[in-house]
Amino acid sequence: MAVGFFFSFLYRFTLNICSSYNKVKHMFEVMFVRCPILLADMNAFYASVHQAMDPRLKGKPVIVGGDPAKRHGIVLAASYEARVCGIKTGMAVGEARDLCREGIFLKPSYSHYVDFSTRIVRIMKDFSPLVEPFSIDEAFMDVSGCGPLFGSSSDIALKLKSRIKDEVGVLCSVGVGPNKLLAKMAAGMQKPDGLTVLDLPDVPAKMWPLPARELFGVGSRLEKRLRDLNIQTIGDLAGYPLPVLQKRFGLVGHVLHLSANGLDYSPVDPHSLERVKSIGHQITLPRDYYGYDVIEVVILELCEIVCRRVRLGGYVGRTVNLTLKDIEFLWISRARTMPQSTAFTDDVYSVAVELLHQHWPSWKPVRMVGVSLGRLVENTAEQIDLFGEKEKARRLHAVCDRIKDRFGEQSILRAVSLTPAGVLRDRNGGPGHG
Amino acid sequence: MANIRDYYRKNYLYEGHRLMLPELRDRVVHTCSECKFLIRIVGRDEVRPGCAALIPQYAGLARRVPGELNVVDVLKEVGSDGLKLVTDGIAPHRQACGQFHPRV
Repeated sequence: MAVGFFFSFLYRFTLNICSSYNKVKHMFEVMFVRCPILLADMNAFYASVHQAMDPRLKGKPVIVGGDPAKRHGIVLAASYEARVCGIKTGMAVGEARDLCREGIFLKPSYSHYVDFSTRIVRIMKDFSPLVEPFSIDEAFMDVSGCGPLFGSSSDIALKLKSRIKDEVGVLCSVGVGPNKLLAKMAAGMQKPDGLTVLDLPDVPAKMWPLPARELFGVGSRLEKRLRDLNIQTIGDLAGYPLPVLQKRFGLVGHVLHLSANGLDYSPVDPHSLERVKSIGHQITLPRDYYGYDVIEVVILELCEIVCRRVRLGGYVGRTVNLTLKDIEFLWISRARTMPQSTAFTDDVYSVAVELLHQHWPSWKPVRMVGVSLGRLVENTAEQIDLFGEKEKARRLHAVCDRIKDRFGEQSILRAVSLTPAGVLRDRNGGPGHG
Repeated sequence: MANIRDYYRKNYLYEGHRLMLPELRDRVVHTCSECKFLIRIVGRDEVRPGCAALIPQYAGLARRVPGELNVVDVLKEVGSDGLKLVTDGIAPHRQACGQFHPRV
């Protein structure tokens, strides 16, 4: 009897201890979230938006692609039903049509994508104010300190997924990790509609066997250089001597070494988009352009767009960057820094034309042109000139801007835009070209 | 970049890889208070903020969006359910939505 009572007491005592331990453990887990960084990555975002807007498209192979007639004929997004047929992002639309005869091909609708994306960011901001949009379909969120309100980071991830699915109608994969890098890597591990937690102890088992190209920050060029060092996997990179990497790649080598070991000290910065570093615009031409005279027309039109955006943001910039692509898809990008910051079209245009003449032979056909203005700073002070030419230009641009604000971007154009070389007149000037 | 500490502090790893549509940036950076569609709806007893983008007459900017509207005018346009929608959950500090149009 006494022995039975003792064992019963011991059992209850142990149970209480365990229960208290679990409660305390859960409390600590909730209060101090171990993996506080989340990355929400929408699955096949553009296609999902069309499926959410038109329920008849659900479960069907939806392919969003450009118009081959305008030479924008690549697949921008394909639903998972289309991917079964072998459709991949970046493939030519013609090739996609051959692979998937029953596919529903749609043109991109950027205003809807922006609308959906802002709704998703709004939902994320209901959980934490620390939200950093990374692209139109990805955003980081730091949930440190949100435990008592919403539970552990996995609970938050589940709630987030559910709200995005119910309120917006698109599926997303959420990666959870102790830093941005691991959250980003985790989000890519399970698609579609996945939830992956990747903590530091999981790095050797889950990350190291992956090819080095899979590591965030490693592009095709870097991959090639890593292969020269016989680095094939992320594990190889993690084990490579740091001094050699530093000597070969400098600061990037150090970052690569830390990243391969799952370390990243970047903050989730909700104000990152408030700082604009450069503003640019690029256009794939409707036909190949030969000769400086016609290319210069396009450059002038691009400078006009870029400088208007720069002025709208209240900035001035110093570095002009010109990008040109030829018919074999080989491209060059050249930059020059001006002695003074500007937001005037003529200043930017003259530098861009100089770059064109210096780095591009006149006989070479051009397929795509891009202009950007970098080193942007707030337009707070201005160096005036002796004869008032700048003031004249400033007033002219101000008047043109006011006309465009009121009557639209196409309301006032340069005369060269009306020549056959001009390309912007027939375009809507909407997003997607930038 | 001078050292690794600055590299991470300035968020360089992600700044360099970010691809953002200017339109999305505008909406993420701004709040409803900077939007042309945020108006005051003036009632008999109270004044509430409202979103003119939800009133068809103003949504497409076919008509100039006024700074304030009388509640009777809104009721005439969208009815009582519409009025609830126009004023529900609208706050100047909210992040801008897809309808965002900056005040000039």
